[in-house]
Amino acid sequence: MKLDQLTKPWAAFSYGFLDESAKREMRRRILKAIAIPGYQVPYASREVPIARGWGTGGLQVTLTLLKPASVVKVIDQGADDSVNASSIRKFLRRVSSAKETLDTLKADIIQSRHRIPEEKLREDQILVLQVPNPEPLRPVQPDMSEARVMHGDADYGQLWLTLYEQLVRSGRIMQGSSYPSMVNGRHVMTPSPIPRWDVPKMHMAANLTILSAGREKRIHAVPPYTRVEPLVFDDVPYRVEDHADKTCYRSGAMGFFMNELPQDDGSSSFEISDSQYGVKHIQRREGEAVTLGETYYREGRLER
Amino acid sequence: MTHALLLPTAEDTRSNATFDALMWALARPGVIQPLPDACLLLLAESLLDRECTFFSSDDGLGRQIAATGAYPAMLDEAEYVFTSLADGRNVAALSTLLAGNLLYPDASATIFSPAMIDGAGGTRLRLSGPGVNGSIDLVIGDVDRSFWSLRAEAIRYPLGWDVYLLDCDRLVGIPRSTFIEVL
Repeated sequence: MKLDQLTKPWAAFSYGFLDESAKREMRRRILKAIAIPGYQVPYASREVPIARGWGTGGLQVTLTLLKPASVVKVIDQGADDSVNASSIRKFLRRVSSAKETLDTLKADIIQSRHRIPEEKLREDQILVLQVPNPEPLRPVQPDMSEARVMHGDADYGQLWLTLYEQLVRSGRIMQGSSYPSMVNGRHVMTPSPIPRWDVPKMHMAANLTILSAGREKRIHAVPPYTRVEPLVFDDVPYRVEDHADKTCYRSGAMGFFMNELPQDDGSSSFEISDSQYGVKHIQRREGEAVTLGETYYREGRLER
Repeated sequence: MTHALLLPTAEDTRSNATFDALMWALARPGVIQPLPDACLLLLAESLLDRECTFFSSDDGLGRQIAATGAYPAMLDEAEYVFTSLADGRNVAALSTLLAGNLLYPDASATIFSPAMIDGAGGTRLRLSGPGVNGSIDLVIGDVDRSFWSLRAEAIRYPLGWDVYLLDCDRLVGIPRSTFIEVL
């Protein structure tokens, strides 16, 4: 075999920025990640034109999935309009000709940093989560080779111990985000630093979720209709953040995950974290025709 | 300043559409996915290159796959296995396939085989597990019945291998996480 049989004619850029060999590697890893839900598949993690730690893992997955017909939404901690989110969205459009959207209901691919939208995702949608640290065992086992052995043995006793210590010390579980969760009854994964509020949205969700850590070079996935169970003790039920009675001061939406905004007088006001969902509430109040999708939570309670 | 947007070549479009089918087939076991063309080689083109090993029971197809740069290997060392499951002897040989190890369960094989999906006279299967909402029934022909018991023997989750069945331009995926009941 000769080199020219393995190469393509010169082009300034490959479609979707990543070259074909990088894409094929991503594809092979994504398939393994889907076949073994929650297991961290190592991958090469190529250079992309943003710095490691700013969403390179999620970006590589999205670049592999994009087609000109795709509609892509990018969120950063719930907001579509942060510098990071809008830069990534613009970049995705330029290298793939995909369409941009802010509306969860219109998106095919949603790349997100640290939030899952409030509106329910459908069977045809893909959620790509950016992951800073894919290893749930790191706080108890800093040696990643040892942690791999523990995953192999399904040895998660030390994770339970940290949760127990939090209970003893503080009277409640203090883990605010990245809550360790058992996937398909076998592998414990970190659901990325989403708040506790968002973890139950992954359980038996209709959408496909792919979680990718670019700096740490690990990819894991949660296929649709897969069990994702946060680690909890039988007698201490899982609790989400206490936002059920909070009302967004801008949109009037109530019972969703809120950002707390400290005020000069020492009090707090609250603003809905899923920014576009808040915008839709405002548009509806002003008489525009907008479609509000079905939500995971209704009046602060999880719909099952 | 306006920038030109990148557009895919015909090759990009084909390999992206093929991967879409491969991904959704594995994410939704038992749900039939459309392929851009009816061809096993298409699947190889979208996944394989010089980093992979493969086995093909058909020499002609094997030569075509080798053009991707992937290395031919023996059945017990191949990561991507292109074979027919219609023959009981071929099926028996699959007991040596790579099934990964507990440290790296992803160091395992993937089988691609032609089959008849939802045709008359096939084996009726009931699939459940991740990706399946409850359970889904599927009739698979041109796959020897012994394959399903061999699969059940070989899979010690998370160890095991994944299967793709191809009927013309229709694709079905069955990952190792799927539980299969032969009805």
